[in-house]
Amino acid sequence: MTFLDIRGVTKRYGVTTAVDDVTLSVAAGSRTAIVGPSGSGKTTLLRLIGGFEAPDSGQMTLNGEILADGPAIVPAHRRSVGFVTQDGSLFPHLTIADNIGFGLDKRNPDRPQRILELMDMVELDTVMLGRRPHQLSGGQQQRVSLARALARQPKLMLLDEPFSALDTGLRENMRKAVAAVLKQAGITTILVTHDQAEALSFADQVAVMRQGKLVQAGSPRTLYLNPADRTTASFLGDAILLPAELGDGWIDCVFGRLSSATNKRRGTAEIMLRPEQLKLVAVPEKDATAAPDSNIGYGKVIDIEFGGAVCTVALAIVGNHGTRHGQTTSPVQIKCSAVNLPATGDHVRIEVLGEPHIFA
Amino acid sequence: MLSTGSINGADPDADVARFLKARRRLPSLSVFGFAGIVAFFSLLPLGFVIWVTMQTGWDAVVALVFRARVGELLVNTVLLEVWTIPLSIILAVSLAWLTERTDLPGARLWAWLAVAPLAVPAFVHSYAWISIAPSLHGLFGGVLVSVLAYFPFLYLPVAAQMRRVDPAMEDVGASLGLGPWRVFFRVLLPQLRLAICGGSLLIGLHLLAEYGLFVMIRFDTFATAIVDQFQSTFNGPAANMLAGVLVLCCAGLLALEALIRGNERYARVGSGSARPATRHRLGWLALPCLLIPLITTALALGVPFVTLGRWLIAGGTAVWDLGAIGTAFGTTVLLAIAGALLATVAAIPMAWLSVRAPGRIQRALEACHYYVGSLPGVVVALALVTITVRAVLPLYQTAATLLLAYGLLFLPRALVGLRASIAQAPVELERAAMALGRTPAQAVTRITMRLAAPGAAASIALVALGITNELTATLMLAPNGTRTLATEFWSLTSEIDYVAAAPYALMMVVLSLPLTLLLHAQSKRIIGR
Repeated sequence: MTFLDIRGVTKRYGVTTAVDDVTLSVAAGSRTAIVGPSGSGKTTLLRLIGGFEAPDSGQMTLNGEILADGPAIVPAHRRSVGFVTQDGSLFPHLTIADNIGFGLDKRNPDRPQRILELMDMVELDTVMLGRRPHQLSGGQQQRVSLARALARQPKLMLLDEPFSALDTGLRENMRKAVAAVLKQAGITTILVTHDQAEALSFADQVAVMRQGKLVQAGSPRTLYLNPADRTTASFLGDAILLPAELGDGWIDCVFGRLSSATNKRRGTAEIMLRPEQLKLVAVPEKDATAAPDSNIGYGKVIDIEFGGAVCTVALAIVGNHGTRHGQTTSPVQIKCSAVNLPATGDHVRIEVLGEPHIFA
Repeated sequence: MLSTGSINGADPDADVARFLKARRRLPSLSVFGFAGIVAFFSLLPLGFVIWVTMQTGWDAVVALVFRARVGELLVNTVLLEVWTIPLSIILAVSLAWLTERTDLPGARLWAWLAVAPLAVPAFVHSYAWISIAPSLHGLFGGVLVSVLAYFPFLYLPVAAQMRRVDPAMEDVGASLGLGPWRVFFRVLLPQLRLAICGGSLLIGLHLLAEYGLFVMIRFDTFATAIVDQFQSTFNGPAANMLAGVLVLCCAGLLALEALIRGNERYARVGSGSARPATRHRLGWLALPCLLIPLITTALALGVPFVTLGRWLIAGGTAVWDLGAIGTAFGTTVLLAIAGALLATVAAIPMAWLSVRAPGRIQRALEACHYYVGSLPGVVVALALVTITVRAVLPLYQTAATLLLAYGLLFLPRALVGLRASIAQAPVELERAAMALGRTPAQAVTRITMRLAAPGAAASIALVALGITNELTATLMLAPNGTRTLATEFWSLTSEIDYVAAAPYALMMVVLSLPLTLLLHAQSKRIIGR
C-alpha cells in the first residue's frame, strides 16, 4: 500500500535543477533509502518531503492527504514528520530532557513520563536527563535527536545522513539500533545517505539518485544484482563490466560460456558480475591450455595484491575467449577471498556463481 | 665525588625536565610581569575610588551619597537603561533578522547602514536632534537619541550570531510542530542570548559613561553631574562620591549581565559546516518590513547628515577656519594613533598569556584588563587628575596622562582583537622556530606577533576610533591649549555656535566612517572563519 506518493516533483535553484521530475512511492511502515553521490539532489528531495522547501512542480501525498501540489505546500510544522539531521541539531540551550520534550506540550502532565519512555526506547541512560548536548558523545546525541523526533509520534521519519558523523564501529551499531526502534514503532522511514552499504543494509527499498534524477528504485537485492546502468552498478558496489555475446540460454565472455536467461536477445551486450560471484580454482597448466576453444574460462595469475579480507588478483585470460572479447593485453582484476588464494604464475579455472546481469 | 655524583646524577631525566621546565617558564614569567604592570595601572581608578571613600570618612560618605540628588540621578539612570536597552534589542533583532534571514530587497545595503550610525559620535547625534527639534529634552529625548546612537552595538553581534546559528535547528523546530513565529521565539531567539547580553551590556555601560549626549538633551545622569561638580569645585568629595556610586552602577550592570547570561553553552554542537540558511520569503510583507530599516536609517543617519549639511550650507566657506580645523584634526589623529599604539602594546602580554598560558593568575590579570574598559571616562579621568595632582604633579595635564587614560579606557578593545588573532597562530609554529634555534622571545616576536599583525592592526583601528570620538576624559585631562575635534566641537556647541561646530562634526564622521566599515567587515570575517 502506498503511503507516501511523490509524482513528478521538480525543484530548481536558479539554473541548476536539484530535483528533476522524481516519482517515487513508499509503502506504509517500510524503510526507504535515498542514495547518491553528493550533489545528486537527495538531500533536496528529503527537504521537499519534510516541507522545508516547496517544489516548483509535481505532487506529493501522504496517506492520501496532499502535502504539496506544485509550490503550494503544507508547511513543515503541520506535516507530522520527524527529522533527524547529520549531527543531531540538538538545541544547545536546552537540557537533554527539554530537547526530547521540545515537541510535547509543556502543560501535559504525562510529559515527564513520556520523556522517560522515549529515553528508554532509544536506550539512553536517564542520568543524562539533566545534561547538555555538548556533554554527550556523537552517538548519544543522535539517540537524543531520534527520541526528540519520535516524541510526537510522526507518521514519517526523515533521516538526513544521521550516521555519517559517527565512527565506523559505532555507525553500524547505531544503524541497527535505529532500524530496530523505527521498526518497533512502525514508522515509515526515509534515509538519505551517500554510503551505498548503509543504504543496502538499512532499507527495504533503495532509490538511487544522480544529477537530480531518480535513476532506479527497488529492493536492495534487485538494485545490487540488476542495476539499470553501469554507473549505478559501480556505485552500489565493486562491479566487473564485460562485453559479451548473447546466445540461446548462454553468454560468451572472457570467463567462458555462462548460462543465462537471455530471453530473445542476441548479438553483443554488456554484462556485469559482482566480484563475489567469481571463484578461482587452481588447475595444472596443461588443463588450462589444452582446449583454447572450450566453454570453460581459464586464466593465469600474473600479480596478487594481498589486502586481508579482500585480495586483488590480476589475471591474464588463457585461450581464445580473451582474444574474442578484446581482453588480450590488459589483465582482468578480480577481487577474491584470502582463503585458497592462488600464487603468482598459477593457472586457474574461473567459475561463475549465479547469473550475470545483462544491461539493456 | 661519589656523593655529589649521586645527587646530581641520580636522575638525569629529572634534571633535563627541570631545565626544560625552567626554560619554558622563563618567557612566561617576564610576560606575566609586564601584564602585571598593566593590570596595576588598570586598578588605579578603582583604587582611587576606594581610597577616596576611606579618606572622606563614613559620615561624610553617608551625607554625600544618601541624598535626594543622588536618588534623582539614580532614578534617571535606571529609567534610561530600562527604556533604551529593550528598545534597542527589539530594533537590533528585527533589523538583524530582516537583513540576515529574509529576502528583504537591498539586505546587504541595509546591513551596512545599520552599522554606519557608529561613525557618528553620540554627542553629534544629539547635536543633530537638538538642531531639528530644539524642544527635545529629558527622558524621551535621551532614550530616542541613545537608541539611535547605540543600537549598532547590538546589531553587530546579533547579526553575526544569526549567521552562525545552524538553520537545521529551525527545520527541526518546524518538524516538531512549531509555526514560524514559535520557531523564532523558541529556537532562534534563545541562541541569540549571548549576543544580546553582550550587546546590551555594552550599551548599558555607554549609557552610564556618556556625557555629551545627555548634556545637550538636558537629561541629568551621573556622568553629567560629576563633570558639573568637577568644573565647579575641581576635585571635591561630592564629585568623587558620585563617581563611587557610578562605579557601583557599572558593577551592578556587569553582575546583572553575568546573571542573565549564565554559563550555558550556545555554540553549535556537532561537526562539519552548517548549511547556509535559506532566507524567508517576505512576499507582500516586504513593503511594510522595508519601513523598519528605512525609518531607522532616516533617523539614525538621515537626521545627522541632513543637519550637518544644513549647517554647513548655512555656514558656507566662512566657517572653514582651516588653521584651527587643521590643528584640531592633526591633534586628534596624533592622539588617536599614539593612544591606540599604547593600548595595543599594553595589551600584547595579556593577550599572549590568555592564549598560551591560561590559568588562575592569568584569569585574575585578564579580569583587571577588562574591568577598566567598563569604567566611564569621567571616573578614569577623575582618578588620574587626583593621582597626578597628589602624587606626580609634573604629569598633571600632560599628554602622557591623557594617553594613559585612553590606554586604560580602550584596553579591552585592543585585547579582544589581539587575543583572537594570537589564538590563530598555532603554538606549534613557535615550537618549530625554537627548534630551529630561535630564543623563545624571538619565536614570539618573529612568528606569533607577525601572524597576529592583522589582528593588531584592527585593534589599533578600533581604539583609534574610540579615541577620535572620546569627549569626557579629553575635556578633563587634556593639557591647556590642546584642541581636538571633539573638544573644539564641544566648546562651539556650548556657545550655541552650531554653524561653526559643523565642520568639526563632519571631520569626526569622516575619520570614523572607514573604521566603522572595517569593524563591520571584521565581524563578518570572524564569523566566516
